[in-house]
Amino acid sequence: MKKLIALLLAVLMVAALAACDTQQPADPKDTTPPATNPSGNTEPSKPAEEGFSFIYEGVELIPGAPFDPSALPEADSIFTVPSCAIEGTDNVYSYPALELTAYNDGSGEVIYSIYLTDADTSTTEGLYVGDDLARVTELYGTTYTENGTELTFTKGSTCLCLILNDGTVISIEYRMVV
Amino acid sequence: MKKIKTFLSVLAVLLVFVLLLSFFNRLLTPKYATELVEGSMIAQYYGEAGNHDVIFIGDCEVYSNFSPMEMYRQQGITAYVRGTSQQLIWQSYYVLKETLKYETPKVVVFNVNSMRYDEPVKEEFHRLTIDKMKWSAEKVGIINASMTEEETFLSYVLPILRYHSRLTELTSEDWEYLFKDKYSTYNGYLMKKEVLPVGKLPVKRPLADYQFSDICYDYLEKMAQLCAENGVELVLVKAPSLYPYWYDEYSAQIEDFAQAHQLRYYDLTQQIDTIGLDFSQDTYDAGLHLNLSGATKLSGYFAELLAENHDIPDRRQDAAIAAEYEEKLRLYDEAANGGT
Repeated sequence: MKKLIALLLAVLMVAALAACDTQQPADPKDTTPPATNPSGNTEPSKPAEEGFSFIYEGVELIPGAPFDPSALPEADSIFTVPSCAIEGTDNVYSYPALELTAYNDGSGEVIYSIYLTDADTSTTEGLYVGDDLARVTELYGTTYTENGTELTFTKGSTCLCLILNDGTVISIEYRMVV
Repeated sequence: MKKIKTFLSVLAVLLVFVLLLSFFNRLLTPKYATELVEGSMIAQYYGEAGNHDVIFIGDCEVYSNFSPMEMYRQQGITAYVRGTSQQLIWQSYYVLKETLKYETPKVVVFNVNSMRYDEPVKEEFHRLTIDKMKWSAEKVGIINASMTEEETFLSYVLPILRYHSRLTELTSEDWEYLFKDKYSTYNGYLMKKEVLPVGKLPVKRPLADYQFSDICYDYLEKMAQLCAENGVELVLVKAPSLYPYWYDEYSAQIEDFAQAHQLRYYDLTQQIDTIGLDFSQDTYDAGLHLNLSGATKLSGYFAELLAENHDIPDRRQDAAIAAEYEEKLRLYDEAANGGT
């Protein structure tokens, strides 16, 4: 009888281990967040509040907000960046003035970044590639973080990332904060 | 007598507990047999270790692009690829260290793509490299070097802690491969025959900082040192992918490191035409990795470089090796000529 109880206890201990609900990462075979979602956050994304946004073809694009490709004209191309092995891909939508990178959070596509590719296209506030630092601070102020040649202005859960070369803006990108 | 009975009872309980734990660990750990086969690559090596003149180390760019079978067929080179998905450089170091316990190749080829990553991308990738690794000092090292803040060392010792949620998601694969393994590579090369031509690539964006991190340099230095200590020549290579972009600034840093350490560095992103790669037919994912057709071209080209510049011998006259590779090539060609 004692042996039986001991055996049952052993089974229960293993079962308890198997069933314990700790904060462990997901199974690799589960649907996983894509490569450009560095946070690894699997929570459905919500539209950013009080953040940077970019209006394109009359559509407001907000990093971190759901993306509906049908709201925009057809993209020139869509480049899918697959993961090496694990499920999850990012789509890079190319439009005449920008590249929009979206990932799938399980419930649909979410805007990760908006990169301006056309020198004649400005930010919502009026900044162009080729403008100088004075123009940057005039439009966005002096509260930013600096990483190498990149200046990052953060607003809500979005940021505007500018790369400068010799004091001139050479890259403009909106990103979701992760 | 009673004490002995109690002792035996306790022992029996412990034994049952250990057996059950081992069983559930085995059952719940992904088998990587028919899905996510990249997770079984590390383990496949153990059964084939030894007698390789060349070992490739690195991420998906080695196991997708370099085919040891073609290297043998074209130059008689015996090679093995110890690559895993998103293998970070600190993981490469421990994989190399482990490999050198099994054999001493003439050349280790390290794909430098991982120099651009100084932090983990996904915990799931760690598991593909570490789960099936044999327990050793190197496994302890790779776990400690790889763990993210959310992970615990214990979850690698007892995978049941990591995979307990799979209890309700078990598939037939979990039962079929409970006590056996299934491997999918040819000396570490994962064959993919699909064709997805390259289309319009995303714009090549300037980066705020092209400088590789100290941690990456530290591990590259360690790999160079480890190879030197073991009398192995370390060769640095960048596989010829079109995307993600391999910037000139990256290549210049590797070139500097190679010169300072008297190593050879082959930036194959600059040799795409020479190799004869045609990205309208030689890639299975629009320019990130090569398919079988592309890997065949690249492997032939690189085998020639290894033979000419690194004196890697032609082993086709060795009867034992020839017999072994005849069988391997038969299976390889069967897969290559079979359905997709």
